[in-house]
Amino acid sequence: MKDFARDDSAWADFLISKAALILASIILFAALFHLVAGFEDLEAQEQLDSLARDFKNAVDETGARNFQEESQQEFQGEFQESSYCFEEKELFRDSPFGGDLKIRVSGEYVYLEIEADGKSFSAVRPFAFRVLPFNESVLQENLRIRFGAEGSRESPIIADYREVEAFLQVLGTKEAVLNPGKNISLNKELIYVKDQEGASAFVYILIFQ
Amino acid sequence: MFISLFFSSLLEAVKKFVKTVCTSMFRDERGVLEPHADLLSVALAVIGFMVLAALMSQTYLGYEDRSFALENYESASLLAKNLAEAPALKAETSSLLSAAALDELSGPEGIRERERFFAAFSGNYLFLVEIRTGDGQWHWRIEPDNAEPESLMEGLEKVAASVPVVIELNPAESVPGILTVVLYKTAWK
Repeated sequence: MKDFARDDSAWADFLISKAALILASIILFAALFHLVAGFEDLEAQEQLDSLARDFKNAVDETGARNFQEESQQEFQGEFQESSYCFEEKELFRDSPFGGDLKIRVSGEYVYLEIEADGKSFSAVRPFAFRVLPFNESVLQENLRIRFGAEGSRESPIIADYREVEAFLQVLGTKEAVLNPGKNISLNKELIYVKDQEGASAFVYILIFQ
Repeated sequence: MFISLFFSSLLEAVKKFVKTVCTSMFRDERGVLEPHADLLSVALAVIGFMVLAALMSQTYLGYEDRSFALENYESASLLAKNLAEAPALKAETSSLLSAAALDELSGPEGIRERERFFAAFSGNYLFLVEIRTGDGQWHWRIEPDNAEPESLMEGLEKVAASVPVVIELNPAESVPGILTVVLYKTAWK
């Protein structure tokens, strides 16, 4: 104890300061790695958000297409429904998601989900226009069962406007699972309704594979 | 004269002091600072890291705050272009926007017309349409009737996009104007 008290070579100081240095360096490097890992998560989330936004924009652009142009094209036999394929998009090819991407579409939103390194990422974007997640024949069948008409120009639905609107809203709550490797059809559809106040039409975009 | 003398003597004194301090520091071999130099550098690195992390979080928070406008401007612009072509706003005989149709849509009598006008769009986007003539003499505002009154208030976060239009005031007079779509932030976005 006497020797210890008289020892002025400061080895204890030296050891303590070096231990503190090592500890501080470990904490600093751990924080740096954590930050970098956080950035990777953020980047994956951002890529998923961009993909969802891109799909939403494609659907909205289909909805915004001028009807007059479409009917003219249809009349001339040039009408083409638009389509979207995730695998053909550069955004998707550049991302690390691959075929594990789960895509769900309902009348309200598109929902993308992916699991990477044990973490789950998801992105949701709402559509600006009204959407139904199935094809034309399913829609016509549903309308025929409920209202006895297909809702086409030749066979309009004869029912109350609000009743038809509510029925279509309920149909839109169904969710469809889409394959990112296959083409997704985006088809703008008019549903004609006749009620006491006159004839009118609902505009819907059908999303299906 | 006195002032310049005073400053020159002051400068001399300062120079002498700095020289003394520097000389003593370079010749000091006691090593007071030497064992702790690495501690200081680590402390500086930690401070630098914390400043970097704070700056990055501030930038991200700033981006988050403005992301609504960044993301939704495109939708507002698309809606504005679409609405400028909407048959409900147009005159029967021409492709111009009709003042009579706008009067009907924005007036208290146009509840049914407004309902059908907004029916093409999903309820996810809460927006109103403003149309004004270039000279500011005429102004129409079309709001959805099913929107809660407080959801379209002035202070709320919103984004707007405009497109130029031509408004037919009567069969003999058409004036240039602007159609603006104001998109409000809802729980969705």
